[in-house]
Amino acid sequence: MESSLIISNMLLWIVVIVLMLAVFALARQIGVLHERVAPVGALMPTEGPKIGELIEPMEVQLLDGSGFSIGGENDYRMLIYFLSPTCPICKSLLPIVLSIASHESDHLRVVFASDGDNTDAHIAYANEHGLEDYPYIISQPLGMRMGVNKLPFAVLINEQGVLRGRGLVNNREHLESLLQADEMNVSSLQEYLGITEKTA
Amino acid sequence: MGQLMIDPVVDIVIRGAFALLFAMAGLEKFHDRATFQFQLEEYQLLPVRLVYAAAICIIFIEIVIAVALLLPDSIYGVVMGASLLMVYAAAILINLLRGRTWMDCGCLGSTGEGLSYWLVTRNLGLAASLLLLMLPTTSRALIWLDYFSILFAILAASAAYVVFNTLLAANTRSKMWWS
Repeated sequence: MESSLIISNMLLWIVVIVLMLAVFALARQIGVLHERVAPVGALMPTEGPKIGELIEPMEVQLLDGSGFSIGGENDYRMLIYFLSPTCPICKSLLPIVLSIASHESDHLRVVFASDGDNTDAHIAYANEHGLEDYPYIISQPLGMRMGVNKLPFAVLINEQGVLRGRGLVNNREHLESLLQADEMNVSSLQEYLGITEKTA
Repeated sequence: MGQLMIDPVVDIVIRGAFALLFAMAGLEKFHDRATFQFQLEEYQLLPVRLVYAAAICIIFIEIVIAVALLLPDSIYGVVMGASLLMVYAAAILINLLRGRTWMDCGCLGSTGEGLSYWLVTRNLGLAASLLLLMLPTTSRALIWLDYFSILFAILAASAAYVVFNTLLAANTRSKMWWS
């Protein structure tokens, strides 16, 4: 009797551990599936400025203390990439943002934006990731004006100072969808998909 | 009966599992102090000047809790551990209410999936299980099979914690995409 209980106890523990490993594997798979079904195109929050809205020129401060102007008429399109030094996805997207910046440098200007009081942390972050040559804005009002609710977030403003796209960006496709949407003159990829579905 | 008591095996399992949890959390933060300092600063609860000192203090406290939990019959580790878990829960709750859901929790094993109310619930649940150790322990001689149970129960508890966090991370991430 006693040895049967001992054996059953040990067997059950082994089964528990095996099942735990199986549940862990399943949980990981669920994470992967979530990632696979992530939305295509940058996700635009409902609150905040609307696409097509004219962005009044706004004075902000750069990391080095100099002034910088957002909005209004310019001779280039501006892509503002909102990040935080502590946000891992922001960091993993940086190489993609930088590659877009160098490939489209003739008609697109990439600007980085963040907030927070610890300027040293931002300077260290900018140096570490090769952002020294780009404007790096430290401004809380800018994020509020653009309706940034999640990070990493990107905003596209065209030469006339008109908002052409904005949204949460989690991968290269999201970032490119902003530029694409502008070139195809739709406010978002979601709208484009809506149009093609209706006409199909 | 009358008085609620816990078996020494349960006592040792809870002590062991939480000692492991705090030791891992402390070592992870110690290993990447710079990141932890950033995470702590993002909570925006402390003046920037104090963040470095606070980060070192928290790492030290977590290690002290891990060691104190291993002292048999001592409630210092229990009280400190439960308090720290509740402080974390409060810090997360404050930032949830501020709408800063995108920030990294800085918890053991978190990878920047963001904050959610589940994290607050998890920490309160953990604090409650830790406080079970405040109950008196029955006294009985442990045999070899008890040590076997203790080892596997701690393994199973750790695995359950990891599974919970994995599911929660996927859930929080997908909410961020779809909200």
